[in-house]
Amino acid sequence: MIMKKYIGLSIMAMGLALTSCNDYLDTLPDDRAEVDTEKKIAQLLVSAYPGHSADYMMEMASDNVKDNGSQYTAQDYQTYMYRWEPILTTSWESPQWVWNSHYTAIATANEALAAIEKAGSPASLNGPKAEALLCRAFAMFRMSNAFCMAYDPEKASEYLGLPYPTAPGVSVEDRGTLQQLYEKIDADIEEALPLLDDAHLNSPKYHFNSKAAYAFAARFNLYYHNYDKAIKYATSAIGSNPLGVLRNYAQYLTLAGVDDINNAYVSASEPANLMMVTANSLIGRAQSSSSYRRYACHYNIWQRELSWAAMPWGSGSTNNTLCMRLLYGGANESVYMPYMVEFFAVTDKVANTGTPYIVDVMFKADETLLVRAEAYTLKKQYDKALEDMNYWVTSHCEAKKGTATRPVLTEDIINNTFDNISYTPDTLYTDQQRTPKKQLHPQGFTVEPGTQENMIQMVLHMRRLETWQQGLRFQDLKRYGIVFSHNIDGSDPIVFKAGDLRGAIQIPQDAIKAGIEPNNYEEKTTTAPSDEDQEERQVRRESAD
Amino acid sequence: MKKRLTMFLACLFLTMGVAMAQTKVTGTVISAEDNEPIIGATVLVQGQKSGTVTDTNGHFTISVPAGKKLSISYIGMETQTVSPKNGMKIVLQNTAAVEEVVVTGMQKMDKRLFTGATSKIDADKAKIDGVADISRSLEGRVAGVSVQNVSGTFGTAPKIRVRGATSIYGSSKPLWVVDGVIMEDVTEVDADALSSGDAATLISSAIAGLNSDDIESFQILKDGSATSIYGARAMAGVIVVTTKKGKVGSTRINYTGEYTMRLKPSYSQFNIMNSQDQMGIYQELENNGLISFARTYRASSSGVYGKMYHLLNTYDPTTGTYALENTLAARNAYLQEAEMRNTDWFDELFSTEIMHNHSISMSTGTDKAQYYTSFSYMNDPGWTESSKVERFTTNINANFNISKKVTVNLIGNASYRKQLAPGTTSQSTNAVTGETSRDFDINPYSYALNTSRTLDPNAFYVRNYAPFNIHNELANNYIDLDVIDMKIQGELKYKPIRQVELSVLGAYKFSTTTQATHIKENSNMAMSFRMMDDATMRDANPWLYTDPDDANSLPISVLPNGGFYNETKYKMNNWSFRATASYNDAFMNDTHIINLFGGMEINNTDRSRSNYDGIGMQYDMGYLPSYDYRYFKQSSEQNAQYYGLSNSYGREVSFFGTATYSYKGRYTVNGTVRYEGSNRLGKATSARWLPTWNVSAAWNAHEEPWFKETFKSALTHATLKASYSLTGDKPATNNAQVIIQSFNPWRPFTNVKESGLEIYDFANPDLTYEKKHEFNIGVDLGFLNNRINVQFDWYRRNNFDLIGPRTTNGTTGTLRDYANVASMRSHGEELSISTKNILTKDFQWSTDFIFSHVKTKVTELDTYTRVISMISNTGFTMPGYAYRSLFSMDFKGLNENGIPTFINTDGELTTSNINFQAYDTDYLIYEGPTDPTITGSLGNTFKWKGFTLNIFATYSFGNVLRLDPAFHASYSDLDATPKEFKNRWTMAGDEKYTNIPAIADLRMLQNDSRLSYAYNAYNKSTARVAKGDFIRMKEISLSYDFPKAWITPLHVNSLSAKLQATNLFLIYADKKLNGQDPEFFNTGGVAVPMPRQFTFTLRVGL
Repeated sequence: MIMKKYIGLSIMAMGLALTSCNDYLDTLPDDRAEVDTEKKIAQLLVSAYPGHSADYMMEMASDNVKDNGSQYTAQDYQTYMYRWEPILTTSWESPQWVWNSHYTAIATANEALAAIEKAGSPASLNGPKAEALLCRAFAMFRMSNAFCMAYDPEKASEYLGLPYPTAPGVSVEDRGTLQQLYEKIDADIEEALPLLDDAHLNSPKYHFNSKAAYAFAARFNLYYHNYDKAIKYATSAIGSNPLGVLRNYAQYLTLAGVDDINNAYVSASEPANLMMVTANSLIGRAQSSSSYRRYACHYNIWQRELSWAAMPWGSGSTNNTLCMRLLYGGANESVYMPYMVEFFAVTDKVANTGTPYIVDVMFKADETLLVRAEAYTLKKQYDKALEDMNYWVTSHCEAKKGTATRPVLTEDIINNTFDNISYTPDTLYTDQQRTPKKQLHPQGFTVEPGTQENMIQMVLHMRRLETWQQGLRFQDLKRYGIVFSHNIDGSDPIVFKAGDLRGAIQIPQDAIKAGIEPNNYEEKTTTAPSDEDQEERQVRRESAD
Repeated sequence: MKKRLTMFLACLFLTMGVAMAQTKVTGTVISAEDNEPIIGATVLVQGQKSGTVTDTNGHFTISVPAGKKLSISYIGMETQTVSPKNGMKIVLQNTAAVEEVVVTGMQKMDKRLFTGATSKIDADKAKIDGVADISRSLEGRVAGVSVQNVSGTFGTAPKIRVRGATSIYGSSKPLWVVDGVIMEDVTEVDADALSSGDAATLISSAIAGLNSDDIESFQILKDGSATSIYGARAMAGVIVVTTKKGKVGSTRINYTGEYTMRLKPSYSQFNIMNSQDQMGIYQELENNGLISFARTYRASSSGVYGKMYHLLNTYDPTTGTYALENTLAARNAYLQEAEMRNTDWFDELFSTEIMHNHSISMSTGTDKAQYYTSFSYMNDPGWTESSKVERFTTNINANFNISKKVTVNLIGNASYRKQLAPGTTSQSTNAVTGETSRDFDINPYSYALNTSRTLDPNAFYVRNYAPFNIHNELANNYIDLDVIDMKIQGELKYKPIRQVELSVLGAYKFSTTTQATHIKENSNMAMSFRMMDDATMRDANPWLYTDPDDANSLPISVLPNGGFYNETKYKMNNWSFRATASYNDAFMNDTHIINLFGGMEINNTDRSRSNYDGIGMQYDMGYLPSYDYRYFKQSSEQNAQYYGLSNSYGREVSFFGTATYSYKGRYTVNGTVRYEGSNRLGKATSARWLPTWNVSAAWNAHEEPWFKETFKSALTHATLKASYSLTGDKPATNNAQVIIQSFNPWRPFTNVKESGLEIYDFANPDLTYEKKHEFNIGVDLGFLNNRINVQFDWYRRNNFDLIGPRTTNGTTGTLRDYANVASMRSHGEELSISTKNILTKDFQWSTDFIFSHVKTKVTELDTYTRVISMISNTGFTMPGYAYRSLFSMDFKGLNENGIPTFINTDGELTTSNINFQAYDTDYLIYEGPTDPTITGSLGNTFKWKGFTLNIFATYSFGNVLRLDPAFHASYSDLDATPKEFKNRWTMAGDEKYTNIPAIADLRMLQNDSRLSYAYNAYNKSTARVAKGDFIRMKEISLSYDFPKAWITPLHVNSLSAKLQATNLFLIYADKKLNGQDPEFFNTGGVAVPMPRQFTFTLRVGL
């Protein structure tokens, strides 16, 4: 009996000891933070933005670049991307890092959302909750542009989506459909918008402030074919008369250096900049360095399809009111506009190594304006579309330059302009065939020939200029099923068809290996991965040449 | 009062059992060999079957009928029969030269009952006089323990491995236990970082504060059975240190003085060109256009030529002449002077000043209390310039026998160390080009090896655009280190009954280190922050700052005045508490022996590290700071922190129990279980607790009745042991839950900066301890009355759940994480043979031979390592290879221009098209492991009357290592080049005869901007690998014990003198090493090799 009592007592004592030990062992082993206050939740969202960018990948896949010839060198991933082949190497601009950094942002947002829920979702956390939802939706949206097809209501239930994690630490293997993906993004945005509150933001231009949130919602709904919402949200972002928030391009003409223009362009005090995201990237270097020169925006594209192309505001370098005509640098083979310039954070002064960054202006009033213009055009509200296009012209063109004067766009002017431009052939054989007008095969919606098409051609041209070097052009090409070709030095050009499945860039090899369903790529014979690999965070600074 | 109580109890005890007249006798049984009490000796009254067993202090109490004698026996010792006398002391003589007691740090165990693999060494046998850090003296002393002196600087821990590595990413460091208390490191320096030469290595030795004279013995616990009581801390072995205690009945005062002289290294040992040959190289550089007025005058660093160009350009208005006339004759005279200079940098920078170490200890003791007190003072004036150490230690060990049942042991140690070391910054590897470098390195040893002998040691040359002279720099750029270590511990033991002992132990350890780097205004490092003599220099000097907010502005200095005062403080507070109970009993006349031991332990460690960079300290102006705000603006823009604080908190709780049963001391079985919890994995409870266990058995064949009859004196001792165990170690990562840290995201401008939190590591809920299964078989044999003792162990280890990289689908936040996915196998053999070859009264000769072999093989690992890490000098691994293996670039000879060629990732032959950052490492050539696979020693001791001659050689085989990286794409007039440069490629066709690359000329450098890749690849190629095998004459010593007859009149108890030569020479080493020490990694910073030294030791006992 007594024995039993002792045993019972010792078991109780052991139990007590273990419980108190567990309390004792709850001490955190280091200075790691626990997200347990409202301020910390807000601070966690500082890192809910992707640290790598798909811009370069998508730019290389677009019609903004050409093959300058095998006498120029290129990075392997450039070659893969230019040929719309799966990228098998890792570099900062490759699917590996894009995937990783976007899911990191999503995991961070999910961590914040879990903390908000744990705190009982008080109204005081509405702002951070909205931001977290938007960060998650935005990272998914950016990935969908790279790794998925453009939204097409008829095919979206067949196209692959992407794993959409909504809880921290939970691995999601199923990609779902593109329809489901868009629905989830939509749901997150719609949940976030009523909660918007900028009070918790310390550096609002680097976060989803309210304006940026609406700009994102506008772009998403445009891609999602919800034109009314796109118009509504764009208006919430930039107001009905946006002249005060559009970028005054003329200011850059007074600046001399590439760095000075870039510094002004990415300044937080520029009202047109709604949101900026920084990224570890060699994009800035790629535009000017000779080791990337094989695939780049040749002067011929610049001249025939971009700023110097004949448009109502003029053409060429002298008789052209478009301010962008002068905002370029680089070599003939690689023309760039100085707003994705490299910042170099030095870590070792002796070895001159450090980390290169870009500041990517993710949402700008000028682009949001064009979202609205495009939505109005698709809804055939041409007057309103024209009004927006004219805002754009006002802020982007000088009053008079040479023989050209700043136009006030009308249906007639636009019809007249585009009726007189011939379509770029699907397969390009010479640069002389390049024009700023391409055959449209809209994916899941229609554009009437004549005025509507011409207006869309106008808007798409403006969008191309506005988002040049930022990869958005590739998504426009996918949305409108624009057929275009890439010349290949020494062999026949390759053609990107309307609804081309290669528009969904292959997801990273590691993710496929770990069980994620790959994109439906045509099997290509590929060589073993060899690689000019820039994954190391420290690279040597190179002088621009 | 207590006495009376004891008496009363004793009387009570007596009246209970015995009726007839008896005398109660107490006594102590002591071993003759070491004067230590014998635990568990059997005391029997002659002719009776009843008796008693001695306790842990060797005491016994027994009632003896009048006229009867006592017989005292102990296994392995000669039985004695004595007449009883109260307070008697019985000294038993060894029959076997095997230690009787195994000290596990938790308990003392009867050797017969100990089933694990262990080795004990007495400190006085292992101690290397003149080497203050006792951990170094373990080299070659114990089978299965390898000690690599990767740096000889005081305070730097040697790389110690017990039976090889146990983890791929973890540190595999053994656990140090001093007097039962685990010694925590002040800061974690992992095994690979020990050879980095960084300042943190100066405090990497947990026991540098121990005075080696205070140490009694080491017990190395090797297999899982021996270490299992330490559970998850002990996967990589345990080194138990026991310090000296006072002894009953003797009062001793001992003085030990050590006087050590270290030899300067000499150029004859190294493979470095003299100044004549060096000048020849410079002339080639000049002819190639690599040295010219235009290039060298404004070069960031330059030597004799740069100096000459500056002199040519220095006008003295008073005399109207230039410092050096620009005539061919004057220039030639200047250069000729340099050519004949042959500066001996070793002589300049090294010193033979005497290092001395004094230690006084006093010990005394009565039955009631024993004391041991010691003080020591060590003064090392520095083998190299700008390195000094002073160390003070004190140690008190007091033991009180409060009653027969209660004893208290109090121990206090304190040590203070003041050390001076040359200034250094942290080592960095340029992943792009593959070069390892250290900014502003002024390590005297690497300076001597890497600096041209044409330089005038007293002149200033140019480095980092600023004037540089090594003596001046060492005087103006140095580290002051203050290390305070303190430990107090108390242990209370209570024996309510004979068989039971209850014990509580509490210890508190405090350690603080202040590392202050003084970079004075006149140092090269400070001056380089303000060198902008002309526009070219201003644009080139990377230490100047251009303000981005100020368009078109010129670079400015952010350090216009003063220098730097940088302070890093490490602090550790540790307390531990342990409560144990043991039960020892023998039944039926020692037929059944039972030993039960169990308890719990709590360990609490808080560490903090803070650093602060003082900028603009004006050392010449009363230490008045003067700073420019733009320094902070620049720091902010580059996301640098000028101060920081980080803390860590270790919490551990464990419960353990071990049970041993022995049948007549012949057959023993043992089982141990430990249940251990740690906060290492944060609040995640999934893997917080780890149970570890062990089962083992031993057969003492010599206890069999037939044994003695069968083998007689030919084989006198034979024990066979086997054990199987599971132990573990906390994983190298700790992200069982998500780890969120504060950070400052990079932003382009200061006005958009903000602080935030980021996920540092994503949660891995499956994270758990790294584990090890070990199977060990051992045999101990004693031949010819134990004149020959052989100990052999064989083991096999299966390390599993090791941390390694893993690929995931990325949707939880990362495509790659570290998880328990790797595994490794190892096996090895250990052999020690000690023989007493000659044993006469006047002359004795004994030999100890130690051999150990270990082989590790990684069996599972998702290799995801860059080429640059794979080809690093410390090596890395792939499945199928040793834990650390050296891989090399595949060198394919020189091309027609004398540039080395290699096979690259694509399988192409190339010179510079090499991507060091690629992950495809299949094309690299495997060279061998970087850790030796065979280590051991051979020691011979000769004694003739008072003289003892000790000759001790250590050996190490099986590893490969990289030769010094001597080749570069471009050289300057500062470089010292190795002698093989004489055989370099100089003209087309040479590539058929030589593998030494050409000195690239200006045209070659301009044609290939990546040429440096080729030279760095060459340094890391198959052409630059040597075997690490060596046999070292570690120690030769001659000591003399003065005869009693001489010294007694002087009232001296003992007096001895000893002369010892340490690290004398290498008996064997790979010729390709050309003097490079195969143990030492020359990485600059604070690392210097172990010197060759002579020590005179004087010991006086009063």
